[in-house]
Amino acid sequence: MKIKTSIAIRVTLLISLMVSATVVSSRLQADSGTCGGVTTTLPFTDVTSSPFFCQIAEAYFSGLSNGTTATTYSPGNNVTREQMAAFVTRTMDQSLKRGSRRAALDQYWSPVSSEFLELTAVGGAPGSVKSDGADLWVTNLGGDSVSRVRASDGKLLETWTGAEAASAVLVSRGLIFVTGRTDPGSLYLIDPTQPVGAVTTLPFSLGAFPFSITFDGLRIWTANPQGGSVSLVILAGPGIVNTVTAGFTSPIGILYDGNNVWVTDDGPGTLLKLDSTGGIIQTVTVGTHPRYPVFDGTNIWVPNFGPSTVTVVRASTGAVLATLAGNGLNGPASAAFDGERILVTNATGNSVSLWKASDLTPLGSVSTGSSTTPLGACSDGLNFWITLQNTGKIARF
Amino acid sequence: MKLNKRSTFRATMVIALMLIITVVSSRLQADNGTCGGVTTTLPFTDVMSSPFFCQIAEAYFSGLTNGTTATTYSG
Repeated sequence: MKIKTSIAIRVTLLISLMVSATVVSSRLQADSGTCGGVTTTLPFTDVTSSPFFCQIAEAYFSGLSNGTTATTYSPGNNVTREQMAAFVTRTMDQSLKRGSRRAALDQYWSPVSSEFLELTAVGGAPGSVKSDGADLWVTNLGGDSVSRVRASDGKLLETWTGAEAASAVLVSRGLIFVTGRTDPGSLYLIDPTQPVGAVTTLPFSLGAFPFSITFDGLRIWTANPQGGSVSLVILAGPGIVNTVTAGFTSPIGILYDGNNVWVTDDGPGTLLKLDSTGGIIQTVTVGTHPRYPVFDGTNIWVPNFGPSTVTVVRASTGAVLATLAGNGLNGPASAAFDGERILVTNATGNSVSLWKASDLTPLGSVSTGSSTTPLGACSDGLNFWITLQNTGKIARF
Repeated sequence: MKLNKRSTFRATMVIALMLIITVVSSRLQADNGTCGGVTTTLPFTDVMSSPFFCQIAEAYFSGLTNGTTATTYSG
């Protein structure tokens, strides 16, 4: 009798253990489904029956969503607006990172000090630099020339001469336009398909001392601080140039955002939105002595040389989103955008400062070496390039 | 006595005004948080306690969302 009771207890315990183990294991078991013809297993236990199993898998594997707990995704739950913010920003960040040339070429690095900058000697006092997608075009204010540098290896390919006081450079429709910081201002043309030689001086008199240049698809625009004007040039036919002075004190940096031309005005410390005739349609107060801004697709980043700040302006409204300080800013001059990051040259501080463009968070600053005076900046889609005015060189960053 | 009543009334009014200004200004104050090691200020007044403050900031700065009003996000 005693033995029978003992056996019964043991059998009962064994059955209980089996039942418990079955229940627990079925509850903890990860869900599986078929995606792209193969079995996919997720850590969640509530998504097997979801018609969006494969989308949930992709969101999980690509880091867009982590579930509501370690083992649940809660596929039927509503998404709050704050959770939505997390989803959309993760999606944006992931898309930018995965879609960048830096990812495709496995080149995520950036120089950590001036010793690691790759330098190319160009002409005297290089100022502005722009990429045509393969080569870099650099104006040499002191050398009255324009340098062409191959971005892939930093080799100096050509030096175009005859560009008196070469100042700003624009790449447009396969051609290179350069302003001459003269009075009246000059506009030079380079056809990169032709043998290297002297630039062509176009028959247009711009406002005095054009410091920067942009293109809106029809007109070439220059900002001319001396005398305070903006010049508009239409190249079609015999060509037309119109110089507008109304409302300008000392325009410096000009850009086109796809809808409007914007220009910084050094005098009052403003960013001005212009209509197609050069009329001022909006005035945004930024910092004192604003220099060369950049548009990141949504916002305009304005380096303010005076207070060593950067003003971030929403292009669609003109609202000031933030005024950034610190992060190594010291006499900021030019801003450039590479699809993810903003780089600002610090002409006084001999350094560059970087931010993540989407959330304005600082990524730090790096020295360019003492007395280098970094001025112009651009991105070739893979690297930033900066002109080091005091050294006669450009640097890959 | 009349003077005292008037003084009391004025004092009450001043205190009430100060209270109203304090309450209104604290309600309209923009929210701050720390993102990427720096203080980030948003125009919204209802996101300070959100665990997704920095994501909301990024969504706002990059133009993905503008909030439900000029000063609220309604997370």
